[in-house]
Amino acid sequence: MMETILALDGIKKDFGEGDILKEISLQVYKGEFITLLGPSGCGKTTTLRVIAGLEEPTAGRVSLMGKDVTDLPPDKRSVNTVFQNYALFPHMNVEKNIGYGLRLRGVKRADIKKKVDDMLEMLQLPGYQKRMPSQLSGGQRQRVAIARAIVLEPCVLLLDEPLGALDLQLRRQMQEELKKLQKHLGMTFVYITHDQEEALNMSDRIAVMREGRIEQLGTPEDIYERPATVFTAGFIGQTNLIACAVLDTAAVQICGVRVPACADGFSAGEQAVLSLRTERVRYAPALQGGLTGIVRERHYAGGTRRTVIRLSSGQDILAVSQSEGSDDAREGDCVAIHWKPDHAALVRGN
Amino acid sequence: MRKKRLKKSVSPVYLSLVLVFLYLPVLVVVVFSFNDNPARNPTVFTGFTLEWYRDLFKNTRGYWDALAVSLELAFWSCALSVIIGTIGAVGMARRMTEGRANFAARAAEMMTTLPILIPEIILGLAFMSMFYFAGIPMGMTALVLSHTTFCVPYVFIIVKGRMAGLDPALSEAARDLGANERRVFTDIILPLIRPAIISGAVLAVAMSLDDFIISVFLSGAYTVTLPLKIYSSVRTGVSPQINALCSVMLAIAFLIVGISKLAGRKRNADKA
Repeated sequence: MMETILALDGIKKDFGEGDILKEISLQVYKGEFITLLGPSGCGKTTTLRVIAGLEEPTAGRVSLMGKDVTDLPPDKRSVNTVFQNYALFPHMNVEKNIGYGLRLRGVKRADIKKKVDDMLEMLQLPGYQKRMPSQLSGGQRQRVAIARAIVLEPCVLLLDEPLGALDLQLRRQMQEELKKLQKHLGMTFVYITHDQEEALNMSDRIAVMREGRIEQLGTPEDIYERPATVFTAGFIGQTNLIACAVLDTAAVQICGVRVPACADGFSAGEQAVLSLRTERVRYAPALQGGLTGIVRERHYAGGTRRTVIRLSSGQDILAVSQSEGSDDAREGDCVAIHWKPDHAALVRGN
Repeated sequence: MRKKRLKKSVSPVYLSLVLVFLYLPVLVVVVFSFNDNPARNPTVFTGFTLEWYRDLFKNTRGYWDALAVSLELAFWSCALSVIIGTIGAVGMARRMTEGRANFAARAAEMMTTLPILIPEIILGLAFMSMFYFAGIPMGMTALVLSHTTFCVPYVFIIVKGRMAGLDPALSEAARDLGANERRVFTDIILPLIRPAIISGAVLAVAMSLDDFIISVFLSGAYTVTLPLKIYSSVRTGVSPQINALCSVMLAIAFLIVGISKLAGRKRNADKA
């Protein structure tokens, strides 16, 4: 049984220009790495600010370790934030920045120094105590911002697109480090990003957000393999969305062809959308019936090969396959498309 | 080729002319403060002396008293306007960033800076009639109140400019780390706007020391400020002591500019 450390219950937020958050309910378990993923403007930063206490929800409750903290100011919550642009205090050196929270708690000077030194050691910034933030690189500022928050040992650490300002290589490296750090500390992380790859890489669970609502909540595998909605399917990974009609619980009809699919929970005759990941599409020379299409384009893309196949309905299906040992289909060939039934997810259209 | 050379020689000449035009009169005052010639409006430099400075410091003509009045006035109006202007600017900046900038807030902001545009003669008159109605006697209190009033907008504008450049996330980060509103102000906002406060204070002192028109309306019998004193004594010609006094004031002005430059350098170093 996992212990809930943070609970959002029916959070709404209205800035007077329409709802930013329509209805957010979420349970965060102790020690997990949960990511709020969504396009910009979906309300993920607002959700984080509500948790931190920097924004007051219009309705709903926030509880932390079973205690209602909705009406507590940010300084009375055992939650700390790593801000998007780090928000390091420009007039304090690294040591003072990291030690600021401890100083506010009245920790003894010598103890603060020791903790700050340990932090810098752990984040591979030894000897940087006296540097000013302006003398640090982006990656180093990032580490200081993280150190400043985790040194207080919060129940929950909130991270608002912390890697957004870093270049790709550094981003990858910091992803690894953050994940390791989180495991090492056993701390609960609520992480915000709009980068689906980052989310899939790092999270224990992902909450996909859209227009102020949580669209789907689940493990990265759930989200990727079994998207619940067209939005999730389209937002995460590269996918083909194919309109179809449900025939029975085990098959759907696409372009007049019966195709096996897992349609539990759907009723016969219902219109639905089949989400088919591009790398799960297989095709072979069309010998007998089945779903067929004409190869329109072939692109060599290094490790993979991209093939565009047009169905009789006129829809293009993108298939991405390993380029080594590839087939010899040519443009204009008629091919039969197939996939394992559990590699495609049936979702309701919106 | 010739044209280019001409162009090259014109700009330094022009600059020199401007500088001479600006500083020659000032230089004359300083030079004549050391002139041995005791005549009013002297035209000949007859020899070097420090007599006028000695005279000045002995306070034989009451210039020293006038300077003391001006400094006291400058001190109080600077202190009050810095407090009022800073609090106003910080509060206003917060309102603006929180997206609650409604019509009233914007109007209030504009009204605060409007006195800069009102002619001083009108302000002076207005203060005089208001203090008369309020029963406040002309003198130091009236002077401090009026000088504070016209100094506040300068402090307000300078500090607000600095506040606008502050990342609101800094205050939020401090709250997040456990600081209450008061600690956010003393630990984060105040140190970061300090250079602006110093600049505002310097400007307030300079404006107060310099003011003549408003002080004319409000000074009492025993509170003659330095500009008033100087004006009344030069009506009969420039005495050598006046030159010495003006040189002292120039020295003070350069000192103030030097301090504010240093504060400015500190501010730039913070930003870099």
